[in-house]
Amino acid sequence: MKQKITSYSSLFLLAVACVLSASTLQEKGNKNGKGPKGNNGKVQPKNDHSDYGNSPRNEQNGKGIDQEKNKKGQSKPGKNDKADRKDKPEKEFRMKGNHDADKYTLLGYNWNRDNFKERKNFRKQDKLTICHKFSKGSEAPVSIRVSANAAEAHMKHGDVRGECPPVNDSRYSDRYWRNRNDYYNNVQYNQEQVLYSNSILDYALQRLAGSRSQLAIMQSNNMPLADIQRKQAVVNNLEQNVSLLEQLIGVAANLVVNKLM
Amino acid sequence: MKLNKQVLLAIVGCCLCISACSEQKKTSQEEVEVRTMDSTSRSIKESADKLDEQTKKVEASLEQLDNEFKNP
Repeated sequence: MKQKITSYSSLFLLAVACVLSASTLQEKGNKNGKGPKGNNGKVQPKNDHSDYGNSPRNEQNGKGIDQEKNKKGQSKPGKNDKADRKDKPEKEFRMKGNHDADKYTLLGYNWNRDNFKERKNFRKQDKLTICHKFSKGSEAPVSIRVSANAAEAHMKHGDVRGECPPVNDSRYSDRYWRNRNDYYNNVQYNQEQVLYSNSILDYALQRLAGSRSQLAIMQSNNMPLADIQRKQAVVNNLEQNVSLLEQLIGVAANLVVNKLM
Repeated sequence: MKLNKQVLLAIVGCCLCISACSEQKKTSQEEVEVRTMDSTSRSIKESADKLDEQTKKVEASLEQLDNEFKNP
């Protein structure tokens, strides 16, 4: 009898132990599912394609660098370029990476020969701290530093000024939350850089088109060969730099696509 | 009685062991996430810096272009 009681009680205790350990493991398993894009510890970008890599010139004019390249050797520039740009004085940038397919006007990044010289003043904008909220409710908000232009767009979509309230989440350490903040700040910095670089790229393409046409006219007017060659070298140099810039914009944009959604 | 105590101790020991192991697993999981975030963050920053550098080159080229082609 005593042996039976002993065996039953030990079985009971063993069952309790199993239940306890199972519940602990399940708890840890649930924690792994939550957290910033937690996929087995990997911060993975979504595979959605955004318009980040496509500059607005592609959307507005339907033309890109390929057409510009095709214009080499042509004597006249595309007349449509200037007409399109007259109709649309302000450039619009689509940032699917930030919020759902909303267009917003990036004031101050509409370059021409005059304001291009003052571009450093445009870029010297104070940074603001905002509390960025993700569209996924389960994702904790994050405090990021943004420029004034970007802040406006963020506010329109529910973000608020100031630091986010501290996260009461004992599942992760303080170090984790600090690293997360840094991560998203770098994402924001990259996005802003992409936008600015895109605007410069757009302006450079406009100027390239104009310069090629001017060169063609100079050649037909029998200008000194040395002058034409010098100008041609400058144009070629710009073309090379523009080509590389476009590649880098694509790479940088793909790195941060949808990361702030 | 002795056997009962031994069994009980063994079970308690197992429970403690399991909870310690799961705690360690949590820490290592967070470590992995932090390391991943750090490396991705570094790549993003490097990419932005390269972009900044190349943008400056394009800007310099544009300024040269302005000097060469003074009439719009």
